[in-house]
Amino acid sequence: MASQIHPSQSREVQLKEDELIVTKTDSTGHITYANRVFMQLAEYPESELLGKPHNLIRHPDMPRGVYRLMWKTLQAGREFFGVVKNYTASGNYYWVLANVTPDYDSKNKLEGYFSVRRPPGRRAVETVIPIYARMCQLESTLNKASAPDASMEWLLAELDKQGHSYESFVLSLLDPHLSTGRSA
Amino acid sequence: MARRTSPFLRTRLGFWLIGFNVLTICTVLASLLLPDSWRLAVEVFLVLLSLLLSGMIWLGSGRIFTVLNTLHEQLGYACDGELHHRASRTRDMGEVGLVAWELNDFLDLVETYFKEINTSFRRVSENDYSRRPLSQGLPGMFAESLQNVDSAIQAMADNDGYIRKNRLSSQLAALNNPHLRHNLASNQNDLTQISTAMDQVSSITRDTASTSRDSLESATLLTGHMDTIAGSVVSMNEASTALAQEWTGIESSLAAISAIADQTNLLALNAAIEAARAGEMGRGFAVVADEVRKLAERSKDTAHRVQSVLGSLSSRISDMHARASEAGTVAAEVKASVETFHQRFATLAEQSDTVLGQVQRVRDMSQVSLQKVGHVMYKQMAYHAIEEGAGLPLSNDLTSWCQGEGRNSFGATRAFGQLAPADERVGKGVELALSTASNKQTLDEDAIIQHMRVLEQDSAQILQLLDRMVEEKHLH
Repeated sequence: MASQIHPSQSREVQLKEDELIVTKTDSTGHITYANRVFMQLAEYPESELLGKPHNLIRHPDMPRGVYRLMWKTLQAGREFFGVVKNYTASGNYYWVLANVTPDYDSKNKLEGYFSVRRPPGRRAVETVIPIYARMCQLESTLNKASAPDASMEWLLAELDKQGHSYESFVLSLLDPHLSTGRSA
Repeated sequence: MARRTSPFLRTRLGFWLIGFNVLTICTVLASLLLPDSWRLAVEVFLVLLSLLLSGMIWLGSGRIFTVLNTLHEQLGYACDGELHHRASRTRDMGEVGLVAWELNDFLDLVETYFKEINTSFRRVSENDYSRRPLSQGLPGMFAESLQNVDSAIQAMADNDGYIRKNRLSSQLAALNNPHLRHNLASNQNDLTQISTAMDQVSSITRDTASTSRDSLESATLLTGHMDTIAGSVVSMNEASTALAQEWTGIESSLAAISAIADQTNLLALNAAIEAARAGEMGRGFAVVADEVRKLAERSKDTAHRVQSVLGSLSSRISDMHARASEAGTVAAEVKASVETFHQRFATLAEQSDTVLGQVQRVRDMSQVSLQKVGHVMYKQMAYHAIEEGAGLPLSNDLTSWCQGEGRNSFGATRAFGQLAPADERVGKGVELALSTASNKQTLDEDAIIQHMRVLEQDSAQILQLLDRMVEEKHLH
């Protein structure tokens, strides 16, 4: 796929307000289900998705530290929120607010992950762009093994300075109409 | 969500029906038109064609039934509460494929809905009300239901906050009230002591005043005595002047007597001579003798006068003596008065010192009592601020007092040295409790109460230290 991408022609496509992207993966992160909204937006047919690793659509602007944090959160059995930039098959991109939860079967065994993605709102995207850029820059100065952990620690420390946990930070970015909940 | 809606199965069914009908028509036409030799071959061919078509239909519809079975199973799982199963690989399945996708979409919505509900409530059960169900992207009833759940969680959060606040208030009150009562009792005690001290001061002042009055009377008396002395001295002066004049009288009298004596002597001599010369002629003697008799009378008279002057003199001298002794008595009295006066003034000075000491002690006690009231007020403001979750609107006056006036008045006492660290601990304690209370996410009453408990201990120490400072300073 990467060979077809021309970054200069890459343009943003958007998820509609009333649309949800739903995908499921097995416990190793391979896609087991993707809904039609996803296939249309990402421009992949089902046959090219099933069994493929979910990082198929990962965008290079996304810092690895965010994914490291996601896996750590999921492995602790908690849900993960993230503002994420993804590639489409043709090299365009879109922003989503991803919410990933571990999926357990009736015997309480981890079966996979369930991911719902909503449109994130402009404010959230504008806020995370400079943060992600700093993280990517930090990662580029470190070796591959230590970069994700280092940029993740930087992110958490930076948010801590603003008095935020990671989750409270992401939830604070949502437009009021996305979450009917007021912060307690 | 508009999807491709080609009536795919229906078209295929149509083709199949056309195929079978064409075969049937061909069979009929063959039996009517063809000669027997050809007919058999054509009919065999048509039967084979029919079998082939049946086989194709069987195979072609097989996958559809597989998908239908999958859907059947999926619905069965959903009825058993497992919402995570989905149908995939439904390409070219026409209407069945559409149904499969619609079911997938429906299950996506249902699963998303329950995930939101479960996650939110699990967090609520952990006393975390910050994760609210997100209704965006869900249609109709789903979104409406999640919004209702959100309102319910908000109500629960409000209620929880209210309960925690109430619990905190009652715990704070339970902690505060006995201390407040104790503090107030201590202040009352201070005021009682101040009042007693003031009573003493006033009684001393009263004594001082009466002593002063006595002193004044003594002074008046003394003045009277002094007047008497002055009068006596004037009288004595007059008496001595009179005495001096009397003495002059005596001297002139004595001179007169002496002159008379001289004349008498001369006459006596003349008489003696004349008597010797003429007896009959003695008539002249008789004149001399008369003169001598007159002289004798004058002498006698003078002597009488001298005697009377001496008598008067003697009486004046005794009068002077009496006056002198009177003056001596007065002087002794004056001396005693002055002695009393001196003693009175000494007592007065002593009492003034005591009064001064008492007044200073009362002043120190009032100052410390003010600081105690200030400290109790500060504590009450802190309790109030914690209950309201607001900032601290009052600065700690004790701290500035310690650095200024307090240091001047009590800097030398040991207790003062311990006051500043205790005050600092109280300040820190208040800060800690306030920052814990201002955490809006979860109200950690236990931690707040713990902070305040430590603070009350430090506060009790401060009040003790304040008392001890006054005691130490006025120990002597």
